[in-house]
Amino acid sequence: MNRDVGNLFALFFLIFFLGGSGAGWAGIANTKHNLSASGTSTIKATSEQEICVFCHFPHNANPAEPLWNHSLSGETYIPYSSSTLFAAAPGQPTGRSKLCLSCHDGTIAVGSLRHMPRGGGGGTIAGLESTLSGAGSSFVLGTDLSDDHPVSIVFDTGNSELAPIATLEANGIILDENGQIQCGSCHDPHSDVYPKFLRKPFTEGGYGAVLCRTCHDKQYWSTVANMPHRDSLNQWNGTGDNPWHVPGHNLANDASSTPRANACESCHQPHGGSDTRLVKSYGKGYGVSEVCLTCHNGNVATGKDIEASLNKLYAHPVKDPAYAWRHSPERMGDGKVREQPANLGNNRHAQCPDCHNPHAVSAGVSPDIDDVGGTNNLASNVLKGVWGVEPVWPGNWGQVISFTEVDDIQYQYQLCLKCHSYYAFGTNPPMDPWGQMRGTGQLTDQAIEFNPNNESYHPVVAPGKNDFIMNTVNGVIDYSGSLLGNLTPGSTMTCADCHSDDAYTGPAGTVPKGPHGSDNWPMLRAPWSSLTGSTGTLNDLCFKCHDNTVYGAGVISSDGSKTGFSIDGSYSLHYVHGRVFNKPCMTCHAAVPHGWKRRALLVFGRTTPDPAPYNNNASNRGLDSRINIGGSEKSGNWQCCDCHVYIPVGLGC
Amino acid sequence: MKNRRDLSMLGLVVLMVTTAGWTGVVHAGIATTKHNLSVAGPGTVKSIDETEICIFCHTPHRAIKNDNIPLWNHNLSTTGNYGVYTSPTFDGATTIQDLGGTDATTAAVSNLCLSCHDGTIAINALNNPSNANPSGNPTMGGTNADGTIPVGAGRLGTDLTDDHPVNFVFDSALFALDNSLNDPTTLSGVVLFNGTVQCSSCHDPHNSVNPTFLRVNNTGSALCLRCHNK
Repeated sequence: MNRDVGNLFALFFLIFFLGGSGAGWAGIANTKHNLSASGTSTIKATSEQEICVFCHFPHNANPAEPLWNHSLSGETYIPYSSSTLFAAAPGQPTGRSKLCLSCHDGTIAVGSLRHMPRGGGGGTIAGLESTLSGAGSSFVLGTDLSDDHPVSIVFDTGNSELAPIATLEANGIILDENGQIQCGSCHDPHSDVYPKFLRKPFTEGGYGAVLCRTCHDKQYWSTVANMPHRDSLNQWNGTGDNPWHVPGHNLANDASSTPRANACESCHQPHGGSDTRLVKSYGKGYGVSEVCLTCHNGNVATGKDIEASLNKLYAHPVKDPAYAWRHSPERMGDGKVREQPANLGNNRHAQCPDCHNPHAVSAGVSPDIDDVGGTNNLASNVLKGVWGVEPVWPGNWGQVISFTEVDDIQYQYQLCLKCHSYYAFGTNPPMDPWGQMRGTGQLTDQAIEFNPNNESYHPVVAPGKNDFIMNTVNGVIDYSGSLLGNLTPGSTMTCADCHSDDAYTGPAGTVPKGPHGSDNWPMLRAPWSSLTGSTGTLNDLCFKCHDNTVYGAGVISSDGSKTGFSIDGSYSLHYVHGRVFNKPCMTCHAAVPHGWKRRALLVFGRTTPDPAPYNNNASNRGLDSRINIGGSEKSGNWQCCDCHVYIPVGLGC
Repeated sequence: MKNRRDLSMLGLVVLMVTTAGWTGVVHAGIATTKHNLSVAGPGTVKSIDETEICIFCHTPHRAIKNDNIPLWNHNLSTTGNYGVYTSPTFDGATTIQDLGGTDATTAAVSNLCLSCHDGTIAINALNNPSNANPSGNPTMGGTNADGTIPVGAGRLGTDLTDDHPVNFVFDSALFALDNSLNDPTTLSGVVLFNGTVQCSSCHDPHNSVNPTFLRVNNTGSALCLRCHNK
């Protein structure tokens, strides 16, 4: 109220005493850029009364346009640079941005003028002998402009994520006569009608960052429905870092603010941001992901506490400072932003934007087995707009060496494979960071494993080949009892169906699905070990989909009608091996159960054993390589002597 | 109209000087300004032998004839090209005319000022000598060796590209084009000449009540804000 009255009085003053021909707005006199003794800031002259003279002088100005009077800085600046910049990288600031920098680089006294008022020569106005230092909420850019939005850069009309240049001026953004962005593109130094001397209000209709969005038309931002980063009205719960507030930058920084009101500035700050993406930093050392985890830690994004998952024993190393800033997207030759495969392989990392596009993401994870239709292998809403790779699939168990980049993945595996395949690491997979991988300790190539031309695989890329886990009852195919939920032999699935937080309890739970982290190695949603399938493992991973009354864990039915590993379809051999002999799954099945070159993920352990880590049997244990396991003719038609002729255990074969 | 008013003001000054017997402290008239180039002048640039004040600019007879010029007596500059202020945001660019290359018949008001302030013509270069120096020009002190105005005394030089633009039309059309000007029909204090901005729009050469002969006290940059809506 008092301020309004004050403003009213100031307005009267302007109209009455200054000629009264103004348009009725506040004018520079009421801004911090009024450096005269009548100024509103603490940074002002002791007694000098002229306002314009701090920047302008009508005669012998330098530069002539716009009749500049403030002493210019001679500094050499570090310009903004970015590997994703579409336009040519900016050089030293030019044009009118240099004028702003004559105070705001903090190297020239605020009162240092080429012409003192009323006809003097050069000098310094009393009271303004100091440089800008950040005191009095003044803003100092310094000479390092690499953490500031680029200036003196041509507005590139070829960038589809920028608004048409013809629309800018009508929408309040000013490019200079060379088509370049300058400080004045966003700021009007003569008017603080809008905060920070911006040319537009910060919010319109409750949606923030109006000014940013006038130029930046981020792909998907305006087209994806129900995008929380754009629409959410969630508020901060007051715990931890205030996600809205970075001193001196945020415009809607009260605690009751929302993602909708902050928009771009929920995550970015145009000055002083971290990395070339100008993201906000909270000093935690996570790199670009810090800003994500300021909301996705339970403090703003309800039900999407990703940080809790990342804190688990086996997690993507989002929070490990050793991996911070390794995410290094580049603008590729086709104009799209991706990472070089070499950076994925040699500089391994997992930051939030490696898997999520914050400008496209909306709620919705891949379906679970109980969902209508069961699981599928599609990329869900949370993976919208991220890039991945589609392999060119070779024959059975071939090395995948050819990939096609996909800029908006359709299938989840396309995302995972960009790091977990030859595409990133060639023929030399990295070591298991947790040291639990069998054999050499190296991880494996998931593109080899999920190749739909393999003899067997979990149906991540294509529906599985094992079509005998069905039973025809009265002419109706019945999968119940072998696959759980709404799964069928034609179902597909995602990596995240197995690799998720151990606290993930399904769609109704509060823990997000996805391979963020788990207390089960390797980032599995349920326990899994070399014992899985033997007594006491009823709730292990495999039995989330495969009915443990059919396949193992010690309660197996002898009904052979629900498994192909049976005699005449009537007697279950899983019953014999799992229950009677208490054998775990990986006695016969691959210990990396992604896929395998033999049918039904069957691995050999004897005679000519298959290699680790796929074969996890001790020496001379498991299936004998002389067994003929090939061909679907064996389904439902196994005999003990098919195998045991090679294993002298007295079965009389 | 404007010319007539200027003429009447000249008459007023003459009258005041005459009736007051010239004490030099009567009021803040030209006599107390640096534009009093006579021996009695308060500035550093002044004559050492000429007692008349007006003569440096005006003469009642044998004046340089021009419709814009009130009985002008100072020899005009022959500078061919001063250049003009340019800016992408200066909408007066369509009407601004270079002050160079003018002669007595085409000179604009600002050319009168430039006859001293561009530094090409000696300050004492008068068209019609004074009564005290009937055979020549007044002897000056404080000038450059060639008799021109020194730097520090408002010597603009012959490059006007770094000076506020003058000699352009400020009318309702310009007001409408530029979104940060005030309506030229409601201006007060500043003066347009035939609808154009000239040196004398801001400066009153006869009165230095305000520093640098400004027409409006520039406290709060009030003069600037008469035109500029910032």
